[in-house]
Amino acid sequence: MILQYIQTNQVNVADDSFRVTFAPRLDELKNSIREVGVINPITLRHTQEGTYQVVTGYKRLLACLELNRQTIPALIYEPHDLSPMQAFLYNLHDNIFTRELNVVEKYTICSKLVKLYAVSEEDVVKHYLPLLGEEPSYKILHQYLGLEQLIEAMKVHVVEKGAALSSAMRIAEFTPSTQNSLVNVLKHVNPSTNKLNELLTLIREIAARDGTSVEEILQRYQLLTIVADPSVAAPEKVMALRQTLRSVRLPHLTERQNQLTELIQGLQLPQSARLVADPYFEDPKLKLECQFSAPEELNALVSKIQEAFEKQHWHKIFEWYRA
Amino acid sequence: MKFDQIWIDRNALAYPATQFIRDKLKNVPCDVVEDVHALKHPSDLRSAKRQLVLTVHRGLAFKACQGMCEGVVCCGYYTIDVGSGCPCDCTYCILQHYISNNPMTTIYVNIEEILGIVKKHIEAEPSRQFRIGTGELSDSLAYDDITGYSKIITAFFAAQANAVFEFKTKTVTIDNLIGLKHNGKIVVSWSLNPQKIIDSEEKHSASLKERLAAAKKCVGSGYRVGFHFDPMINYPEWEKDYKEVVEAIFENVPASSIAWISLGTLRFPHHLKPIVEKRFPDTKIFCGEFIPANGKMRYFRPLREEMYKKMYGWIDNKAPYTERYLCMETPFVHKTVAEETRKHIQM
Repeated sequence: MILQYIQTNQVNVADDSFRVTFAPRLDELKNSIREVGVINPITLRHTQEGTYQVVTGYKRLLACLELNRQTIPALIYEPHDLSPMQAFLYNLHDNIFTRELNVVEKYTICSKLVKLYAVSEEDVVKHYLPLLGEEPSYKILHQYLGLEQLIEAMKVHVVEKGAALSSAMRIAEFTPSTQNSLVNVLKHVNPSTNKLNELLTLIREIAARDGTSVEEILQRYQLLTIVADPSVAAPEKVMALRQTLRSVRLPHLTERQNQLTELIQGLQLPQSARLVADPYFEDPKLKLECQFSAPEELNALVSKIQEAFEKQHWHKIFEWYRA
Repeated sequence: MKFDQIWIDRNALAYPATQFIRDKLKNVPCDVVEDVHALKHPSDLRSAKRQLVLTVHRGLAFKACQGMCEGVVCCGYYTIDVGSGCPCDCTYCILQHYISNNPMTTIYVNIEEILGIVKKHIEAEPSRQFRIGTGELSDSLAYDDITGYSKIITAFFAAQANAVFEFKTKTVTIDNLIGLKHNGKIVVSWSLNPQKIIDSEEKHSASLKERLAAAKKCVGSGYRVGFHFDPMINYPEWEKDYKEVVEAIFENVPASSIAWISLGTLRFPHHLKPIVEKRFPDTKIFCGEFIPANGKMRYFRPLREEMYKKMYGWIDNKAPYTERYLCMETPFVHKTVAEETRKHIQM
């Protein structure tokens, strides 16, 4: 192993044999290199063909290339000093103990261990998943390996939005062309993991039920129009998206919920009283919630509720609810 | 079902049923093991089902139906475990989740001991009429050609004063039952669905025609028969298809021989869905309008009620006094469906 300044253009950046890093953010690193240069040398592996493979320091090299730096300090290993598996482990350890890995990087690690370095699934589960901060479970390993189906644009999206494995896995089940359409919708919103998973499930189930493509669903219900409106805040977009999809997926429930809302509004209850029903209409009991802070308030409230009751509207609600 | 391997629990060796089953499956490789729980099962369910375990049931073999959970109306059913696992491969089968830790086909060879426990229970409450079945963890008759248990069970219940036993099946393995003395204490039941659903969701089960023909044969042998529309699936043509099945029942079997008809719409714990989606990616059974209710996903209540009311109507048109009930439904649904049915009968 020798330490030397090496020409950046001598390094084969395209060779990602040992690389784990995906979609790195380089702005801060570039500022640092601009100010004080590269402090820690990168690690390279000299190949028999005379090129250099990046073992560690991919981001530093990228930053230098973007800054048009001609040289970079590097520790260089000859091929016989560092096997490919050792080189991969150097990279892995260089990353896992210095930062949080994103889901695509964890997928890359699992995939390379199994497919490129022929590590058994059992070994990956027992030894490597805990290193990645994951439970030693075959299910989790297979979920990561399933991310192979993610298209590049979706991988970038998943990383940028910090999507969870459970969401990435659901997205990976869609075809590449569907992922392409989905990314155009999802890039406008940033739902929580649960909400995102629900949206993905709704989209998938509607497509399956109607025997149509996801692209058709996105178009038919104008989902892109809903999320692309710049005047609407992101959380409201998610809510609108969810509402639209739920009304398509659960039409009877949605219709009934809307009818109930209308009926309750028709009661003209005072502001401090609220009629609550089971949102799924399973529980036959309705709940009346009232707020008051003095006996006089309660009196007034009771008479207003009585007034509403006398309109016979209450009976209508009960009859309708049980129908 | 063809078995690839038989595993015999050493404790099971002394039981006659073990030898009986071994004789029936002479060509299947067989090993005796000290602890069947330590057996490593194949990861895919289909292969696991082809491994047969003969063991002794030591737990609670006679119990109230698992359906007796809070929030649903209990029909007072009791179950006996004489085995677990099923050769049919129904998309919606709860066993995929329920026995996922032990998916190998298991037959408990201590049938006489199990029936001894049942005897104690039913004799302890002589004024009570028990309804008992074996169809909870397995199909009641699917393995009867290798166990012959139907003969033992029928002889046992024929002699009980306060119990009726139900064989519940999707097969036509009824040969052992024909000609047995049963004293009217045995009901042979079939789960029914339209042939379209049988084709797409009930793999390796008998066709609708075969099931009804088997029911007819059992009626010919003096048995009362039962039918379970469970799970009913809601899909665009469900009305036409289920009505035809109801009509087919009465074309094959006289109403007087029908012990009961039960209805239950598809419900499932949410854990089951990912298992089914993985095993049957093309299934459409989850496309219905499901909502969470009583710890399971169920069709939206008005949809369930509509299905039940229409089914009751079609049954009433054929034989209004046929005993029927809803399986694992809420009191609310029971009440609304019962009210509607009363109206219908009064008209």
